[in-house]
Amino acid sequence: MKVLSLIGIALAGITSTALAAGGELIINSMHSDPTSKKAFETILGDFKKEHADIKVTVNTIDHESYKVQIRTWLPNNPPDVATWFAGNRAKFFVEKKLVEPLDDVFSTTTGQFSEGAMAAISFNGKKYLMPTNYYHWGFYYRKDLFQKAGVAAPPKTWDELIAAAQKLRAAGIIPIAIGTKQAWPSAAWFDFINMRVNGYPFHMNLLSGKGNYSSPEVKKTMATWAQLVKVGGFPETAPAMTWQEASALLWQGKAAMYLMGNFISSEIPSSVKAQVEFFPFPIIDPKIPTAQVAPTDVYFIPAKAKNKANAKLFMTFLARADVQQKYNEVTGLLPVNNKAKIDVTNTFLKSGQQILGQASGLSQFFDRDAEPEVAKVGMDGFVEFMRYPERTDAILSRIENTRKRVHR
Amino acid sequence: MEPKRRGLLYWIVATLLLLLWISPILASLLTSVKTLEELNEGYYWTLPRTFSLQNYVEAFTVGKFSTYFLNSLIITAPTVVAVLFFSSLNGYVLAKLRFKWNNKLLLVFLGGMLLPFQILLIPVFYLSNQFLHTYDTRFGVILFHIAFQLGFASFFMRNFIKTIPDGIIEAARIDGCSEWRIYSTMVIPLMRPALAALATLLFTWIWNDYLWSLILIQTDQIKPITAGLQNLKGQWIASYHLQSAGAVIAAIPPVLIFALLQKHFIRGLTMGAGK
Amino acid sequence: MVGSLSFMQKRDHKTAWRFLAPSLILYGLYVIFPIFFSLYLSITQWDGVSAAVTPLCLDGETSCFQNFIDLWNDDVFWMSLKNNIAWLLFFSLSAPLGLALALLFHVKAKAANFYKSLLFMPMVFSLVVVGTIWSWFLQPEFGLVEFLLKGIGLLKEGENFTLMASDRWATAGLIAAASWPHAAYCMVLYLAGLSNLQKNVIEAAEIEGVSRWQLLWYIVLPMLRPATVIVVIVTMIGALRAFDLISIMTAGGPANSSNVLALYMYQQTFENFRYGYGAAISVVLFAISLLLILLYLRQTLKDETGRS
Repeated sequence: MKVLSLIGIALAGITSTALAAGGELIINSMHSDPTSKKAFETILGDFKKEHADIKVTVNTIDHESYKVQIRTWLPNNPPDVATWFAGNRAKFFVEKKLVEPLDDVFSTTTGQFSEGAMAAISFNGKKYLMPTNYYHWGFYYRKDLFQKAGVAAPPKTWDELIAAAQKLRAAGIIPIAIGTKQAWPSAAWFDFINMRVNGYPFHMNLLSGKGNYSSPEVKKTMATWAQLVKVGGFPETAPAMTWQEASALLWQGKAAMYLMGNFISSEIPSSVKAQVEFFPFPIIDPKIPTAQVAPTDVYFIPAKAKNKANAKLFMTFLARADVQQKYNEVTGLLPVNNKAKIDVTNTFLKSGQQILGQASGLSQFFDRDAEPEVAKVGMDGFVEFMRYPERTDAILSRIENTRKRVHR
Repeated sequence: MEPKRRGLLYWIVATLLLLLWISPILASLLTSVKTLEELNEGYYWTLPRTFSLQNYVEAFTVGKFSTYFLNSLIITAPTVVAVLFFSSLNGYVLAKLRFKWNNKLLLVFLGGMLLPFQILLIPVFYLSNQFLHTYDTRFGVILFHIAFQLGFASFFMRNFIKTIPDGIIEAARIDGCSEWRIYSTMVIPLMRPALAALATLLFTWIWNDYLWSLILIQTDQIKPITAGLQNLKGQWIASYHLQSAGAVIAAIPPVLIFALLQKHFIRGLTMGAGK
Repeated sequence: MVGSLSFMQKRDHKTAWRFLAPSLILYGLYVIFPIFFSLYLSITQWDGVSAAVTPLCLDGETSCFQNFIDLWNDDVFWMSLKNNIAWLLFFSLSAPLGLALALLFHVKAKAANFYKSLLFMPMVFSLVVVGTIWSWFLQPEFGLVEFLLKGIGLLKEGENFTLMASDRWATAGLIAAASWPHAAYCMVLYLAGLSNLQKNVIEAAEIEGVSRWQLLWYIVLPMLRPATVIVVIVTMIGALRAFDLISIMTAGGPANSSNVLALYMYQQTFENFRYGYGAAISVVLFAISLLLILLYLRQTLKDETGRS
């Protein structure tokens, strides 16, 4: 019996590289909003054309629900392909042996994916995830408000950012919009400042659970951040708003800047489109190489998938430059395959590609790089910090205690 | 306290209060005909710039609401009927039979209402997946809902059946009626208003359930309307305009049930509450 | 015991088991068994994914009750418990609100029926929808409340309505939102009670010339007591199990200041992969609820036997 099944697996391996295997392919997706869904359906249509004999079923569920539901089916009766995030969130499942390695798929894509992209999907020397798109983070700002408050140019350094904040405050404008009803937007600030103050290697080491959150280095990060809090850089109403509601502050001209991911660029109302531009997160310490935040969305094959041959066909398909290009023409995000072209008339995408291309390292995002529990305590702590910066030490030691318990 | 017809002033005050009371619902209706762009700019309370039913159309086409709607009916209707049947049986036993476990059983049925049910999600998943093999079927969800609603429903029915005078039932027993006959030909007709009230509550709760179908169903084709509603939400974009339209559509059946059963509903609760 | 049962009692017992059997099987499988499973989980460190679920104390070093010890030292747990108590106290205000609405609309007129069905409406929307709409109401900058406060001059230009951003007051906003559908629920129960008042008693009182408030306080309220008992119990359970609205409106924030046990349990379980810890939280919540319910039930059963 064992021999037979081994032969079966071998055969499956062969047919996967050859054409058509027939049968089924079930995909669970968390990309539920109309835009993402449309993007996915576009490329799925192409896949069905190429493999007319495969019966494809897609189950879509929103992001938050998906995170709960994946716990039920992944270890027990998974689909053949599933969506997820790169980074630590994926590592958890990889370590539980719930994810199928994809090294054979990537063996044919040499030179098409950057080192940085590969690092985010590899664990213990094996590649497990297929990255389809990522997006850059940075400041979206109102040119007209900058002018009104007398800010000459977008800030390039931390001091310039502080100065700009002060000028905007004086002009009666909220310098930087933020909504922390869901805590995650606060974590972008920690990621960026920590990477700019202490460098990418320190940041990644800290978030992987090896560093100390009560260390002088992290305290320096918080002290830097506190400067901006103390000059009134953020609105006091932040905890009552979602990121989306806070963006209305920018559109209505009540706030001048917003640190956000590039998914916001497709949300800019046409009435203010001409006034909104992008600048990357300023330099704090010129000696530190510049890293960026670039969360990556991925697809993977669950270890217990029933139609692995078809799943691998689909992964090979997703890796292709033309597919990634088509996919992201709809999503408005950046393809990870570097042979895929982007819409050069879209200035936001262009700056994104530029800053990510020059980055010394790419982090996924605080809650994707850190253990979920540490991330939760951390982000709650950041929200508290933005209200009460004087509580820094207590907040950091709370995060540190959680880290110690999780990584003991 | 005999209700009287009241004057004009009363109706003006009542109407104003009512408008205030349902203003969140009006807001939801308002949002459902707006564009996302308008909401993104923070204009929730102004009249829509352009009136369009596009969001409703989109909820049905992109949101696949017709399939979900049907699934919700398939799940909700049999569940309500089954719960009514079983809980009235239980209620009859707990209220009218000389059964020594009565008070303890009542506590068991109430106890099920006390645990924050979210903690049961994963155990129930394993139960239906590994032991009952009902995972990812509508039948599995129906079975679960029946079981889960039995606690409150049995408690509810017990209190109502308790209001039937013991004498009537004793008389029937002396006449040689079996307990099943007493239950089906005497208790059930008397309980029709209570059952209507319970049906309305159950319908609303099961119709609005999301978490359990999330855990017990994986395939899109058999998911209920709440899943469809949730699916209009994106990873970053909340799509309030679509969600509002979806919420209005999803609220129609429970509202209809309320309107239909209102008369019975009030009368039904009267019997239990004012015994 | 069984031997001393009368013929009638034996017959009743047989019928009882037959009537109850299907329910008990279903209820046992889907409710009782998972409850005991959760009790067991509270002494494990299960992550919700791994195949093995072993007690914490199997290693001989950790205490079986480590989760409960951690809970005792967990600031967020105490914060949540405190908020649950606030919920118990202030959420119950929806009961008098429901009563007031019931009294106001307990009128004989065709229009009143229409009004009543509109008043029920908050109950038919899922709490997710209710939470989303209330978020907009209470939001700073764009919310309706801020808009109105600015309109009547209570807020100056440049000032904001910061209720939901405040780590001290966010819970108040949550309870207000939750009271909206719950007051409708209470109103239904009280309407039912009102339509069953004994007319002769009230007429007699009116002839005696008592004031309306005296009538309400000394005659109507005591007659509504059975309705009040039901209202109290559903309100208690509602306050202890508060979850959906908080999850939508504040997610427990700012920085856990509006968290409650049911939500904290959910976050630990599903966001942090700590199923064991989450189970421990729910066991504590279960114990508190059971205590309250036992007190209530004893009183009710005593009243019932006292009357018959």
